[in-house]
Amino acid sequence: MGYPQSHEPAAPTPIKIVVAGGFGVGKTTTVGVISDTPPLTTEAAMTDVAAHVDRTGDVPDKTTTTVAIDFGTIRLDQGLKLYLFGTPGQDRFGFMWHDICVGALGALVIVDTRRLDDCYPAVDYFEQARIPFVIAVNLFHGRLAHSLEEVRWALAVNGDTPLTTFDARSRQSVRDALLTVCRHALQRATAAA
Amino acid sequence: MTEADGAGRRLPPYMRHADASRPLPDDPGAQAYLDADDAPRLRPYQMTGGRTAPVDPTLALEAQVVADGAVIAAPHALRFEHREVVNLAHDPVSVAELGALLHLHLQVVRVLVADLAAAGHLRVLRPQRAAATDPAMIERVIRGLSAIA
Ligand SMILES: Nc1nc2c(ncn2[C@@H]2O[C@H](COP(=O)(O)OP(=O)(O)O)[C@@H](O)[C@H]2O)c(=O)[nH]1
Ligand SMILES: [Mg+2]
Repeated sequence: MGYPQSHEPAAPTPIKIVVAGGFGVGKTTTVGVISDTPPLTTEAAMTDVAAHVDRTGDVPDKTTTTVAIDFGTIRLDQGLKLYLFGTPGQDRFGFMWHDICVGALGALVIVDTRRLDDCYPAVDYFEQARIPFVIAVNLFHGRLAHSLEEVRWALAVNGDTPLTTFDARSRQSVRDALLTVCRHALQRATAAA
Repeated sequence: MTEADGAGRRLPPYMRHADASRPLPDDPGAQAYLDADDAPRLRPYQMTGGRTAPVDPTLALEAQVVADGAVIAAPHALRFEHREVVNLAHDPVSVAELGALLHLHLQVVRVLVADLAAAGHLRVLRPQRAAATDPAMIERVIRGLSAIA
């Protein structure tokens, strides 16, 4: 046909960090404030849609729940792109949870101290999946309702899980929280090597 | 010829074709249907019904796909929804981005990607799992993040 065979642009190496926590804790804000591009939302279904489509005419039942996943990207260097995925971590989304998190460098679990138990499912998941995670208390009102040690006790996370406070609306603060995730992951990776 | 979905709505012909490599005639009617403001959102099973290429249900959200040069030059040979994917994949693009930009469920994107890859129109670059636990790679991420002002 004589079409010029355009040379294929190199794809960046993708690295992923998951941002988890209950509804309203600041996940969307966090992803949006640090992303290079306006944050986007993609949808995942709780049920496996692909399993349905192979059976012609089979209509997924109406209770199929769609979960919105926020995502943003940060170009870290020429060949490296960080993907941030923000998702409500809830027990009943187990299937999708794994789908999003597999292969993640680490996770930021955002906590609102007024509703601590909202983050239990996320903490449980990352512990079981052995994904390095950091608890980040979003300082909605500029101060803590409980001390960080009280938070650690209430969440029953072990001593080497980092706990930090941050402000989801501040780019520098989100950057620092993500750096805490990376340093924790690095410590794990170095210990395992 | 007329087929209808469960709600009695007619299905345009492009929804009934399964083979990604088989071109559909450019159907202005179908295009108008999709462009119409009141067009209902296509449900996943309508867009992907009767397909045969194996889908990788674990294809990562951050996996990159990139369209083949030949198909970029001649996208009109493709079904509408495949064409949309190709149009976004001239440069490498993530599965998550495709889902967001096309307003499609992640699982539907995986199906479309599988179709196009099977037909040789798209290359799929799976992320290397080991990268996330490689100290040198994590240090590189730290350097990149630290540079953010
Ligand atoms: N005052 C204050 N408001 C915040 C902060 N983080 C998020 N918000 C607000 O809290 C609401 C919920 O945040 P959002 O990011 O949508 O939470 P999500 O449900 O976890 O995605 C929004 O109205 C945000 O503007 C914060 O650090 N301080
Ligand atoms: Mg949100």
